[in-house]
Amino acid sequence: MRHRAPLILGLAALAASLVASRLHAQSPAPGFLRTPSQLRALVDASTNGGYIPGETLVKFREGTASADQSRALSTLRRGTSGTSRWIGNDVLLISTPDDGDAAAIAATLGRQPEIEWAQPNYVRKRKLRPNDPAYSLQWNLNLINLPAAWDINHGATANVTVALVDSGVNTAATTPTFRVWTGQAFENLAIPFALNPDLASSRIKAGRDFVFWNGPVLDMDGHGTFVAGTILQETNNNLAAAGVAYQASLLPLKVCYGYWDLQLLLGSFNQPGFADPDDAGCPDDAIGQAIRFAADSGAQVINISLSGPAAAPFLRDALNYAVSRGSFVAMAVGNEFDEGNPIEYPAAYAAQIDGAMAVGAVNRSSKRAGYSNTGSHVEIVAPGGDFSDGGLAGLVTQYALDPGQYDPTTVLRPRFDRYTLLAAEGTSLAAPHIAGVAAMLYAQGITSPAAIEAAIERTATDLGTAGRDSEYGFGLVNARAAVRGQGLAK
Amino acid sequence: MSAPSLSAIARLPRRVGALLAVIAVLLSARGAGAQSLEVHGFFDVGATKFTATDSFEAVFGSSVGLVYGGGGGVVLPQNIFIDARATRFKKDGQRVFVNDGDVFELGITNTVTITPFEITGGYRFGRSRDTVRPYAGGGVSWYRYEETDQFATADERFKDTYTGFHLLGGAQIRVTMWLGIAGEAEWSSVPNGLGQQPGSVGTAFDETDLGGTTFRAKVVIGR
Repeated sequence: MRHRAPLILGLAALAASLVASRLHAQSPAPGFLRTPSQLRALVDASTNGGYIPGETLVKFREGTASADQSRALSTLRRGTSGTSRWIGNDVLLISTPDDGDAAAIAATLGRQPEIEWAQPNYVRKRKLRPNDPAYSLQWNLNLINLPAAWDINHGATANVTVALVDSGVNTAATTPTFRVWTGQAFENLAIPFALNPDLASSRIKAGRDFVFWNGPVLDMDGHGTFVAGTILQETNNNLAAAGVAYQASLLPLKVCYGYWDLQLLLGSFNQPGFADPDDAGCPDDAIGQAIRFAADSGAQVINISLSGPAAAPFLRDALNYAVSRGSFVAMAVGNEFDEGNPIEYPAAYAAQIDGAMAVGAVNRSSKRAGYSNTGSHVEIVAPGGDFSDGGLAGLVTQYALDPGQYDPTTVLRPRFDRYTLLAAEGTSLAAPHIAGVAAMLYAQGITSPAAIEAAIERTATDLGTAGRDSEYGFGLVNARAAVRGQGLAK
Repeated sequence: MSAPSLSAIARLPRRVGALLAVIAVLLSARGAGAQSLEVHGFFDVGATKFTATDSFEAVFGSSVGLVYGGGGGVVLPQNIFIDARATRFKKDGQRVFVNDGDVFELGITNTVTITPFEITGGYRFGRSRDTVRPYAGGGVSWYRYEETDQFATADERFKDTYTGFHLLGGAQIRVTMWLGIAGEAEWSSVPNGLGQQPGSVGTAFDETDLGGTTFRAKVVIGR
């Protein structure tokens, strides 16, 4: 028959009285499972070899008599006292407050013939694996060691704002009426917009539109919504996909117009006809204003997933201004490697600005994505997806606007209130990984743009030629290493 | 349970076990007639000002830390002494990021444990009947270094051992025949005890010495 009452170890008489008083004094308060000292021991586990000091789990061999169990426990060193309780039918949890070295206790007990095994009571670290259904498709998050980083930093905080200089994000559920050319005539068309259900409205700031109108920021292109998803899509909410800094706030700044922006403008000015679907773009005046607006609004991070081959001092000055105001900037280096690999701006300015980074793309094999531009200005790489490496599975997946609802080649009456899982590739998707990690670093305590850049660079996983190179810069961002920072000796 | 188990003895550091064995042999030798051989044990507590000032201040907020320990030794007839000592420094700080000298605190509890083991040889001035006896010496030391943090995985916990050397001096005051107190100052150097791992605070500040200057008080039992 097994002991069911707490066992007294060591010097029986003395220990019995101690244990009796401890049990009385340290019983958990009603509704709680641990006493304060047990909670302290649990906390101490992290700096104590990963196990709770003084707690050992023991399994006796089948059929071991009580007397033999006691004999096995008596092999503990002299003076050891404590309590024990059964877990299930065959495992004993021994608590020895006077001797915290559970590893040694387990080793001693494990050698006894009556004991099948003994182990310290280890404390496991949670490895946050989001329950978003599409998370399993998001190889990109694992590639940068993000789940392990989330164990330390839970996706930044709402106090950290990431400004998205892009085509916008729907900031309102609204159905404005626009005048639209349908091919034969104009039509007053109510176009519905809805918030992304996988982007909490409480984290989306009003933002500002620099290219379309004075109304709420709306995305009629889809690019901004996708990029926003990578930065901070709602995570662990059992819906769609995950994002990097999933608790940060978003400041959407619309600087790009797409086909529908143009088409609706044309209709509003009674100009018949259709815009060219390739006429989308992002003017420097809007980009520069948006960068400054972001800095003046207190955004700690700015993401710019757009680029062009012409140098632009206006943008350079805006970047310098933003960094001087405390904003870190992540920028895409461009997707034109096969079109002559031009140096693209504003990313090319990053090399001269501590606190701004030029971001290239890698595929899921940690190789440079074929489209990703190279050059001495490339400072870091992050997942951008690559269809040539795994087909659809090699792309980056987010919950974004459903392009089937607004595709200019097939749709006359668009709507922007439908969302779907979407896969894409491009350095546009690499930059937001860096922006997200930067937001986490800011939340962790690194509040200087230059220091954020340094932290990302120094903790990157070197790829390609040893040291910095023009393909991978300093290497692949390692979110865990960046967030964990530096110890005294390691 | 009338005697310590073998497992309990096995938990003692091997070097301490070896030291105890040496002392036991010397004690037995004294009993056999080596009358002028003096044996003593001691425990001490003190404070160390670490040489890697910037690194320790970044992680702990101070470059001074409490150290405690003990040991034992013998004094040979020629007033030459040989001591062995084990001490311990353990302190919680936090992980940081250092950039261009700026320290950003990350709020991640970081625990460093340093366990120096020292062998010291030296000379004790005066005669054995003197109340105050100054002494000075030097020797070699082995520093067991461990560092972990609240989120560290098994792979991320860091352990290593470094070799260094030290010089020390002090004065012992005899209180009774077999009890004394002492004040002691020690300077130690452990080259390459820090700054060897890329990305560490020691590397960021280009500080590589794990040693420092220690002032301690000792209680000595024996002669």
